[in-house]
Amino acid sequence: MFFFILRRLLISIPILLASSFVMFWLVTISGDPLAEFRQSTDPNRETTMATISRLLELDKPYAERYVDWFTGLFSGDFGLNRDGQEVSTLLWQAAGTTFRLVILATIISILLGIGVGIITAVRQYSAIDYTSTFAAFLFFSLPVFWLAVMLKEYGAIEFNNYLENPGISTRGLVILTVIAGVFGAGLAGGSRQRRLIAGGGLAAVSAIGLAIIEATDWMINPGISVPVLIVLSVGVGVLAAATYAPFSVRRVVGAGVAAAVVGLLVSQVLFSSWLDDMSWSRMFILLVLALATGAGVGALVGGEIDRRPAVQAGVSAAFGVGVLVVIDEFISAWSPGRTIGTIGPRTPNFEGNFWERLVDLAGHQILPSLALTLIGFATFMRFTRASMLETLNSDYVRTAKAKGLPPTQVIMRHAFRTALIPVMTVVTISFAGIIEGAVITETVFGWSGMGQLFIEGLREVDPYPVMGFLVITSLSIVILNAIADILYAYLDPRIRR
Amino acid sequence: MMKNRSLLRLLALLLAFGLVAAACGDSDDDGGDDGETTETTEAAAEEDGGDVETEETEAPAEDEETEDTEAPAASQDVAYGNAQEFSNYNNGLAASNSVKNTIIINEVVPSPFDFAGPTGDLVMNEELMDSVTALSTDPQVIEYVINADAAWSDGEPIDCNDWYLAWQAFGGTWLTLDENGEPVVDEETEAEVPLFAVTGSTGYDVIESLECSEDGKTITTTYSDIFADWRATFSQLMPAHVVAREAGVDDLIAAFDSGDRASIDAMAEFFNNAWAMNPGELLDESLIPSGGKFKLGSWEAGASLTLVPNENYWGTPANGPVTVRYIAEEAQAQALANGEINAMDPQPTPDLLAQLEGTDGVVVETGSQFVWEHFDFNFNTVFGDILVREAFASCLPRQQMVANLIQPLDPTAEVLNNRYNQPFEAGYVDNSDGRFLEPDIARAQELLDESGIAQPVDVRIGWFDNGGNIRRTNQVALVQESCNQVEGFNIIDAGSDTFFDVELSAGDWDIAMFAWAGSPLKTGSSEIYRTAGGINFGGYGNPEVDALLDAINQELDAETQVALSNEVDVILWEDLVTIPVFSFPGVVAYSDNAANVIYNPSQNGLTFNASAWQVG
Repeated sequence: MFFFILRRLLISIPILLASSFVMFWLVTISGDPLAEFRQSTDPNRETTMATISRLLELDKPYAERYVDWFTGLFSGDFGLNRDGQEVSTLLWQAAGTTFRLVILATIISILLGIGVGIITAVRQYSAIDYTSTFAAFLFFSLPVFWLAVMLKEYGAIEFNNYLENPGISTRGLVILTVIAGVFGAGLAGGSRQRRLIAGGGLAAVSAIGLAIIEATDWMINPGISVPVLIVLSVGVGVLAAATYAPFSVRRVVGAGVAAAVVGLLVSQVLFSSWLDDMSWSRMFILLVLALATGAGVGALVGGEIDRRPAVQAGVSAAFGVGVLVVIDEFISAWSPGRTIGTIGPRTPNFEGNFWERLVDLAGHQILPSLALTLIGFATFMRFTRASMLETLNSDYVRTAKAKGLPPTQVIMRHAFRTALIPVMTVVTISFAGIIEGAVITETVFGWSGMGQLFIEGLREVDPYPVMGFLVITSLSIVILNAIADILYAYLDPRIRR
Repeated sequence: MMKNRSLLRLLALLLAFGLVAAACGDSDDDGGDDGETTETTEAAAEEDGGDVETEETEAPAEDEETEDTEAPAASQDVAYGNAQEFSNYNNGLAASNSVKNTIIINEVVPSPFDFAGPTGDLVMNEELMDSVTALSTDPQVIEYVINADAAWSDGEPIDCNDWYLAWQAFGGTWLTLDENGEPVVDEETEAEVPLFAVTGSTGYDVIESLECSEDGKTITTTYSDIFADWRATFSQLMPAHVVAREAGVDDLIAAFDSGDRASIDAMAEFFNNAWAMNPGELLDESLIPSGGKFKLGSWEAGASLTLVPNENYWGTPANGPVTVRYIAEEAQAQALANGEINAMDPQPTPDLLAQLEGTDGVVVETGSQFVWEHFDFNFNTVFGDILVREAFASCLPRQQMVANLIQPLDPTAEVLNNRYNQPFEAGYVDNSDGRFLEPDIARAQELLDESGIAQPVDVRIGWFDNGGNIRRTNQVALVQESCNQVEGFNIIDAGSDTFFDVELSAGDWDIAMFAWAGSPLKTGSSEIYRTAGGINFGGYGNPEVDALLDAINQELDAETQVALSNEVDVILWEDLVTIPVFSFPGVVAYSDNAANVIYNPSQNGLTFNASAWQVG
C-alpha cells in the first residue's frame, strides 16, 4: 500500500514538471505584455515600455525565464508579479480565500450528496427520488457563471429586498405546506397510511410554524425566547435519549433531559458574559465543557446499568443544546439589513461583536458556497445512489435483512460502507472540478482567490502568478489523490493487503 | 417492534421540527410575559436568562427596528467599485503607473494641477497653491507659491524639497551605473538606463534650474526650451523628507547638487522599490504620509482599500471615508443593486447598460472618453495617393458605425470630426467640412478610377484581434459591406493578435484601425503626425504640419494652443492622413442616495472629487 501511494506520488512529479513548462510557455505567448501602452499618446510611452520590458525580462527567451523561475522555487521564491509584489504572499492570501470556499463547498456537497444519494436509493422511484434526480441533473448541466449570477440576483438582491419588508403570503404558505407534505410522505415511504401520516404531519407542522412566524413578525425580530429555549432543550434531551435507548428506559431519558437543562443553565448563567463577548477559542472551550458536563450528568443520572447509553444521551443532548444556544445567538444578531452579500468574503470595515461578524461572514459565504456545492452535489448524489442500489440488492444485505436487523443498521453499517468505495474515487475528480468552478465563482462573487490570481496573470501576460496558481492547485490535487488512496484502503480491506 | 421504533423516531423528528417552528414564532409574541417570568422567578438561573431576554425584548419592536436599519446606515462610507487593486504609493514609476493607483494616490499625494475640470482639463489645486505664475516666456520661467499651511500629515511642510525630488527623479539626469561607473545600456533599445525607474522625463528634462525661496514655499523653475504642457509636470509629488530620512540623507537638495552618488543611489533605491506594497499590507504611516484630503486608511487584501479623511489636512476636509471595493467589472452592477457599492464606472456594454437601467434606485450617466477610434492610411502603399485615400473615405460608413455601435451606449454620441479636440471639449470644431459622413459609393468609384491605380486593390485592414473585441469585428464587417460595393476595392480583414507589437510598426497593413488613448493635453499627439515621428506608423510627412506641431509644443497660452491644434487638424483633413470615427463611450452609475458623483472623462477617473462624495 505504502509503495502504491509512493509510486503514484513519484509518477506525478514528471507530470507536474511538464505541465508547468507548457503552462509557462503558453502564458508567455498568450498576448502582448505591453498592450496597454500601444495606443497611448503619452510622450513617455517609449521610456515606459523600455523600463517595463527590462523589469519583466521580456528580452529573455521564455525557456530561460522558466529555468529562473523553477530554480527560484527551491529557495521558496515564486517571483514577483508585474507590480513588484511577491507572488508567494499573493499565493498565500489567495489560497486561504479559495480553500475557505472550496473545502466548505466540498464537504457540504459530499455530505449532502451522499445523504440524498442514500435516501433516494432506499426510496427508489419515490417522489423524493425523482425530484432529487431531476434537481441533480439540472444543477449538473447549469453553467456555473450563470448559476452564480442567478444566485446573486435572487439569493441576495431580491432576498434582501424581501427581508426589508418580510412576510409570508397565503399563497406562499400553501405552496410551502404542500412541499413539506410531499417531502414528508416521500421520506417516510412504506404503506399508504404511513406516508399519509408523515406527509400530513409535516405539512401541518410547517403550516402552523409558518403561520406563527407570519403572525409574530418573527422575521423582523428573530430570536428564541427563554421559555421556548427551555422547552426546546427538553425536546433535544428527549430526542437524544431516544436515539440511544427506547423510551421505556427512564434513566436514559432522564439523563438526556437533565444534561440538556443543565447545559442550558450553565451556558445562560455562568457563561452569559462569554456569550456576549464570544471568540473562537471560547467557543471551543465551551464545546469541550458542554460535552464533559453532558457526560458527567449522564453518568450521574444513568446509574450503573444504563450508564453507557445515558452518557451517550447526555453528551448528545449537551451538544444539541450547545447548537441551540449558538443558533439563538446567531439569529438574534441577525438584523434585517442587506445581509446577503454578492461581493467578497465580508463587508469591508465591518464592526460588530462576534455574532454580528459571524452573521456577516455567513451572509457572504452562503451564495458562493452554494454555487460550488451544487456543482459537486450531482456527482456525489448520483454515484452514491447507483452504488447503494447495487449493494442493497446484493446477497449479504438480503441476508442481513432476513436475519431481522433493524433497517437503519442494514443500510448504514452493511450497505453504505461498501457503497462508499466507488464514491471515494469520485471525490478527487470532483475536487478538481470544484477548484475549476471556483475560478469562475470567485470572479462572479468578487473573492480574490486563486482564480483571480490566474485570470489577472493571464490578462496581464504575467506568467509568475499563473505558475503559482498551477503549483498550488496541482499540488493540492496530488495530495488529495493520495488521501483518497489511503481512504480507499481503509474502506476496502482487500486493497490493504 | 422494529417498525414502531422507526416511526417513533420520525415522530420525534416532527416534534422537534414543530418545537423549533413554534419557538421561532414565540419569541417576541412572548415579550411581555417573558419579562414577568424573569421577574417572578428570582433564581440566579433566570437572571442571566433575563439578560439575554433584555437584549431581545426590552426595546419595543419598533425601536429595535429603527436600531436595525440604522446599524448599516451608520457606516456612511461611500463605496466605489473598481476592478484593479492598488499596488504602489509611488505612481510615477513605469511599473506602477496605472489607473488603479492613480484613483487612489491622486487623493493622497499633492499635485499643483489636477485633471479635475468638467471636461477633464487641468485646473490648479487652489488649496495647495497660493499661485502659479508664468513669469516669463523667453526663457520660460514658472513660479509656484505653495500655501504656507500646506503640510504632509506627519507635520513636515510641503515645500521646495518635494519639487526638487520630482525634478531630479524624473529629469533623467541620473543613470544606472555598472561596477566600473559606466552607464548601463539596455540591450534591446540601446538606451542608457535611468537611475530612477520613472515613466519618463518629458517636461522635466527641459527644466534648467529650480530655485527655492528661503522658506521653501516659493519655487522658481527656468526652462531651457519652451514646454507648453508644464502644468502636467510635478503631478503626484512624493514626500521628499521621507525619501531623505529613509536613505539617510540630511539635505536632499545638497546631495543632488553635489552629485553625492552614494546618497543618490540610496534615495533612488528607496524611490524605486520601497513604496510597492503587497495586497493588504499597508506600509507604516510614517512612510506613506498624506498631502491631500485623504490618507490610506485600511486595506483588506483583494477586497477593499479605504481612504479616510486626513485629519491634518489644512483645507476643506473630505466628507467622509471612501472605500474602493475591488470587483470585476461584470459583477459591479449587481453589487450596486445590492447596495454594496454606491458608484461604479466600468467599460460600458449594451448588456450592462440595460442591466443598470433596469435596476431601481440607480442613476446612469453616459459620456465620452479621451480615447478615440480612427482609421489610418499607410502612405507606403497605394494609399500614398490622395485619390485612393479619398475613395476609401468615401465608402467608409462612419455615421453607421456610430449609430450601430456607439449610440446604443451613449445616445448623445456623434461622429468625431476632430483629431485634437473631443466633442465635449471647448475647442471642438468640425474640421471635416461635412465630408465622408455617409458613404458615397459612386463617388468612391469615380475617385478610385481617376487615380489610375491597378485594380482590384487588396486593402488589408489591420487591427488588434484577440478574438474578444466584438465592436471592432463589427466595424470591419461594416467596412467590408460598404467598401466592397466599390469595384476595385477588395477589403481584407487582417486582424491579428500581434498587430500592435508586430504588424503595426512593421507597416504590414494598408489601413490600420485602432484607438488613441489621448488626454486634454495638446502636445501628446505631435509624434503621431510629425514626419518620421515615433508613433507615426503610416509614414505621413508634411513640413507645414511639422512647423505647426512645434508651435503647439511651444505655445504657453492654452487658447492659442487649441487654435493651433485645429489648424493642424484642418491640414490633416485636407491631406486625409487618418479618419477619426468616434470617441469611446464611458459610463458612470451610482445609487440615487449618493451625492456629487460626477462623470469625468480624464485619466483621473471617478475619484477626482471623492472628497465631496456623500451617501445619505
